[in-house]
Amino acid sequence: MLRSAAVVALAGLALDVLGGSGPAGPTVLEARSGREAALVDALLAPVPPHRVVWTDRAGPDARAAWLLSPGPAAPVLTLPVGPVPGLRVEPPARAVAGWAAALRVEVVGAPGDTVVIRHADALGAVDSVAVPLDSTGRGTAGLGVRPAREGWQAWTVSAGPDSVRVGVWALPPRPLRVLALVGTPDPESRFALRALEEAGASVEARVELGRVDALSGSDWSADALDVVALLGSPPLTAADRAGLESFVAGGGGVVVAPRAGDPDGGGALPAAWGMDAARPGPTLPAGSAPTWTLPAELSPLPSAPTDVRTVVLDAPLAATAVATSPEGRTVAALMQPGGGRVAWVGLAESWRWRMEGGAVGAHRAWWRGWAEWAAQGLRQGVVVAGPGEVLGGQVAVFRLETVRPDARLPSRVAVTRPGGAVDSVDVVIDVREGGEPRYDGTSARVRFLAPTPGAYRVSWDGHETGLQAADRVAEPDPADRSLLALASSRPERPGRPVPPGTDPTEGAASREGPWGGSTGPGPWWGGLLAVLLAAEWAVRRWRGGP
Amino acid sequence: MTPRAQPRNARPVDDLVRSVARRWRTLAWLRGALAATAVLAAGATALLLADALFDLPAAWRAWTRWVPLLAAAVPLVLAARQAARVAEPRTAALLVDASDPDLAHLVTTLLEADLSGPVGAALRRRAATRVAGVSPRRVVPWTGRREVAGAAMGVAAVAVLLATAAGGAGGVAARWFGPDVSIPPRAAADGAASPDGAGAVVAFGSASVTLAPPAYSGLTDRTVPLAGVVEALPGSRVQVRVAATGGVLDARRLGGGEVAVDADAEGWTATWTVTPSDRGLDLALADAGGAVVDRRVLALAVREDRPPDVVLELPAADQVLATAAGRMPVRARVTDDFGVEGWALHWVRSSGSGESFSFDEGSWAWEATDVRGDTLVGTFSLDVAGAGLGPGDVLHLRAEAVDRNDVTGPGRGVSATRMLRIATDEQMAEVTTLVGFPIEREREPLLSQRMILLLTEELLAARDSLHAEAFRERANGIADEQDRLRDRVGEIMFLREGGADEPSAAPGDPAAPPQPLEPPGHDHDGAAILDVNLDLVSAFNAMWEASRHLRQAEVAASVPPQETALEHLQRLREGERVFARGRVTRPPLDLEAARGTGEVDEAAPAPRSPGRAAPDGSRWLGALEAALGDAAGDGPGADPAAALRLRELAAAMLSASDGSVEAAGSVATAADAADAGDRAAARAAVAEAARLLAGGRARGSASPPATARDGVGAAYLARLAQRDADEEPAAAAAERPEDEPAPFVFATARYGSGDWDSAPLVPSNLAHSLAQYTSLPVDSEGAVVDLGSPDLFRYPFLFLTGHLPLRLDEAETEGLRTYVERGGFVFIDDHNHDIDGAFHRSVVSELGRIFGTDALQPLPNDHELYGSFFVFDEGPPITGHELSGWGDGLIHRELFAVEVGGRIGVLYSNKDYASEWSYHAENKRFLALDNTRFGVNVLIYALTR
Repeated sequence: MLRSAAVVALAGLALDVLGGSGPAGPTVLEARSGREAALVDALLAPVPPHRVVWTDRAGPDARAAWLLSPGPAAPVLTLPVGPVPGLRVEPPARAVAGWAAALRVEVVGAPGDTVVIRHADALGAVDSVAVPLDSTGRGTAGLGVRPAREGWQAWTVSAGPDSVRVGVWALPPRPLRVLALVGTPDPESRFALRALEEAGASVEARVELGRVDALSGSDWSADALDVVALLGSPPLTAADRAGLESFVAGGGGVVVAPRAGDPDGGGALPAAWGMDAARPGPTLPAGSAPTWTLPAELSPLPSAPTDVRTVVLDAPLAATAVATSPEGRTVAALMQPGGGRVAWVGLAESWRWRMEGGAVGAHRAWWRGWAEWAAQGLRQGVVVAGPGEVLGGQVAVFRLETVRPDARLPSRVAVTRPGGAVDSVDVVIDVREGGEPRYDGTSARVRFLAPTPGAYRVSWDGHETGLQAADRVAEPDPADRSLLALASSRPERPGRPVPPGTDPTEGAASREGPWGGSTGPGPWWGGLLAVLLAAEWAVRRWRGGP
Repeated sequence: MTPRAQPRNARPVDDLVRSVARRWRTLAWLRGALAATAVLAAGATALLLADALFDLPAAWRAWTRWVPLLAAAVPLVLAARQAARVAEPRTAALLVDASDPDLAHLVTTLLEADLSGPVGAALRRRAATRVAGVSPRRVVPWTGRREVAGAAMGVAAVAVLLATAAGGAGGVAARWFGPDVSIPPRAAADGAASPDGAGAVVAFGSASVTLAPPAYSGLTDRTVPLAGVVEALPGSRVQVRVAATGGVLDARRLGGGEVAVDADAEGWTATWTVTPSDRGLDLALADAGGAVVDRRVLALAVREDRPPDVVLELPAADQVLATAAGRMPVRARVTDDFGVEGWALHWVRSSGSGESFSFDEGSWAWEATDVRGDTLVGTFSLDVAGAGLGPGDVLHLRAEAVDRNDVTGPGRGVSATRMLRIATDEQMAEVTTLVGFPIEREREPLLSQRMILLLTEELLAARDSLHAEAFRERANGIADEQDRLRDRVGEIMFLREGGADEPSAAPGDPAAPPQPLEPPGHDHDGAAILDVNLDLVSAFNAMWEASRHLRQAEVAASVPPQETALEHLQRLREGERVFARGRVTRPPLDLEAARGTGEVDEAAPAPRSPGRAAPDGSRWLGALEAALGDAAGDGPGADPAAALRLRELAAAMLSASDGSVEAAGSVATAADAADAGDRAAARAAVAEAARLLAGGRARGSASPPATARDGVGAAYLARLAQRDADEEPAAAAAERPEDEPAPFVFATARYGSGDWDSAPLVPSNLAHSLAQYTSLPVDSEGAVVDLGSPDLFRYPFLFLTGHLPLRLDEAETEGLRTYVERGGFVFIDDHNHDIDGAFHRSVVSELGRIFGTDALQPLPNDHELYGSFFVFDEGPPITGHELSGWGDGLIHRELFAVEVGGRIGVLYSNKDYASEWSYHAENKRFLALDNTRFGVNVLIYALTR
């Protein structure tokens, strides 16, 4: 019997070899929307193509996308970027429901034009911004958004005829936890605290009153606090500075708002932030309106002329200046030392907006914006890049990367599917380009099938992210994130977008198929034959034969 | 006791004992059940009768509906106890023996004795014969006739009540045991199938709202469909009529309060009277299983009945008279949205000075009232001489009106206050004398510029009837008055400069011919004087010009310069209010010397309390986003389930304080659209709700919106814009060096009525204390700021005091309200220390008018204010004036406050800290205990909370 089977296997192997080795199908298959049927046929063929080049802006339908996903029958997929799109939108990397976030927008058009970009959420139009294009015809902008609830949040961004839909998984809402260390109390610190509290923050304040020891015993940790606000230049001890530095290194946020005219101006800050060498300069008088380039997460200033004094920084910092005085000095700056965030707000009399200008809401939003920006550092040491919105039936792929030496990736994550069912999914550690596993375990992927439309929550060790599986393609997207994710999801053969203008078939011949040099079933026939022969030999020996 | 094992021949006795015990227990339970039924029926009868007679509220019904059941449990418990009494055979045996003395304890003996042997056998035989004649019915007879009768009567009474009640037994059951209010479904009432039967659908039908406005409004009743937002006045009777085909109704007033629901065969009628806190009505319809199957939500926007708008037109400004003589015309007008019930001219007369003031007050009816459209105009001729005013006395006048609102009102409207002051000799030397005009033409004192102008116009009007010489003579007379006034202006100009060198052409010098002064800006030695007295110099020159024309009989030509002079004087008066006060004299203060000299051993700043989040409707946006899915639906046609969820959301928004009534109305509209299958309209209504909640979130414009939300802010922004256009440096920047921290400025409020500057030493004294105890940079000068000026908002702390009535005009009212709403801190202290004093009464009245009648509340004596720096365990420290019995002779135990967002916005004291702290700061060293320490607490609180 075994001998007969071995003979059959041997015959099969012979037929296979005689039938020719190597790929039976095309090496590269070009496909585009509307022709998914041909793509599906090719993918279901005994020997699928090595590479699929998708050549238009609309993504494939759900079935084709599913077949394109990584698996035994899937080829390496490379997506061409194609012509430079008119509008590209990047969703926020991380969002918390109720907290400010931003969409990064890049728009291309005629040089010198001004393009109005609008964005809307499910409830309708949110805002718009006019973006002037530079001499190359490119312009960038940020659009402030505030996810209304936890879970999947999506926005539609449009510029002229172009429209892009992006989304992010928003974490559950919670109030900001702020520890305010206040120097000599003044109207600025008083109204800043009030604004934060009115915005819903939980504020603990310690006020320096000169001869009464009110600041001692400051104890903060990144677990209990989101932000430490240094208002009015509070005196800090060496222990305070060390605590602050540790707090920020752990992902905490700090907002520094020095007092006008203070000789130190908040300069007695941790040396690691580089502010020791950047002592504040003189206070500018009211009416010296700075030039603002605030990121979109921060609330805009009232549209009136600024009639407040500012504290400027003399020396440049390892930070991004977001406000400069007419003389070019830094008035406000943002920096990210380690995993945390530090914001320098050299505006010494913002309370005048509120009291004199009546802009109570704007003043509240101003301080809330700074605190929320500072609070969104890399606290947990792991960043997650998700596929965003996928089509129902596609495979979702999340990329996990550590950003701190002490961070560890999980071995499994829980996936909560629509309806509440929870699966446990293994985390696959990434390998390097050459096929060797990454020894440091700093990058990994989570893959799971999203068979039905709805929200999928991915969680582990206090982390949470997720995605939305849609029942249809909502908007054409030239750089469909889900397909890009598919392209990059094969650890041993990461795909890559092909730059515009290059031949998508270039180098295809040199690339190996997913099973190495041979794409036929020869190895299986050989293996079966060897097993059968070994078994036949063992049985014969057991019966006393040779 | 455990019965012994009985031999077989004892069985007849055992049977008898068991039978007796069984009958005992049966009858005990039967009587108990009958008694329970009787008690239950009696209780139910009582409740049903009470409900029928008095229409018991739902809460009463909820509390009392279980009482009959609980009462019925009592007889059952007693029955159980009774039945347990014969739990043992021996007890039953004793019962049998006791029932027949002839048994001679035979049964008990047989039960317990050892009956072996021949004696026992003989006894058994005898017993068998004897016991055979004993019947358990005789041993335990039936005695429950009374219980039977009670139960029968009670059941009959209940049956009658149920049969005659609205809706029958089912209606009564639903009314008493439904979620809130219930009636049987129409089909059941008609005796047909139950709602859960085949074909029966439990759902609301048509719904309408009938509004009966309060009678005082004069509005007619109206009926509208239950949709969107319905407006109603407080006191309106609202009747929501909703048809239904069955089910159980849960009616809930959103905003609190009871709602009466009547049921009939067609549906329900919910009726209630609108209160200011009402936000709507939630009607939930449940099926027999208790599941809510339909819902209707009424979003009710309660319209405020505005108080009357009162304007005092005459006198147009405060008046200072030289003598209390003549008559003064007074005119006011009033309008109201629903009519004025009454109005009058209210007066307060104050006399005295310093700490000694007396007050009286009253009202005058209008002498004539004219109706002009919806406006009433009242006129009154004030007899100044008859007002009982002496030199230094002040008469405050303002028109007050009440509307017809007899529900939440009456609404009270007041006009601005005008002061009529009789000048003292000292005040005669002030510039005000120039502005106020005497009522009658008198030789002494001076005529005002307005009076001179009136005389000139009178002369011009009479020109044709006068001989030329007479005309010239009268013109010369007016010129004399003009010269006298001009001389006085000249004197005051140099008086204001503290005796500066007089110019060569000094006014009033008879030896020198009158000459005009150089105009401002002219480069000569007197420039400093001219700059300070710009208006006075301009008026002086215009008077000179007018006098020249008058003496040349060019009377008409004298009018323009007279008007110019009047304009400058009025401008001067506006700038300096009633009195052209000089700077308040304050002693020099050396804060650096005082820095850190105070004893702070007892200072222990309390932790800062958590602040309160501002109401923010944006939290509903997430729910609205989820509601979009409902609005979009899963397919074509009506979607009742989606409509139900949308209405639940609308009800939740109306129940929450931060949910907008208008937005909830839009969600309810979306539900109606979902019910009708109009998906697009449903989505649009949800998006509209989001727009209403987010307050302009969906701007859709590339231009940022204006940020000023009120007139004061707009004025500020406009001023900044103008300053930038003029490229002038900001005044604030010029006030202090760039690199100095902004010091704390103690600002004192100046208001038009009363004596705002009665405590000029308090600011410097408290500034001195701040320097002593803290490291705060402090401004030693302080500031005086008009309550009606935009400059008010440059100072987050404001001190206001006085002895005289506090009457705020429109600008001051708006300024104070806006200042507090934006986060400013006002400390008001009654300098009289008298709860019956005019300042106290007027402050309480004005704060009630501005912030609401209930806004000013006592401040608990453990408030963090009393621990913000020093610790005051007993609350506000007692002042020396309280101890010495000044004022009302009371020791006021607490302060009062108007809170905004959980923080003190207005702190009011009638303890007279103004007197307590009115001394030179250097004298603090003579005090055993610094009495300004509480002032430090107030300032630290104001700077940190």
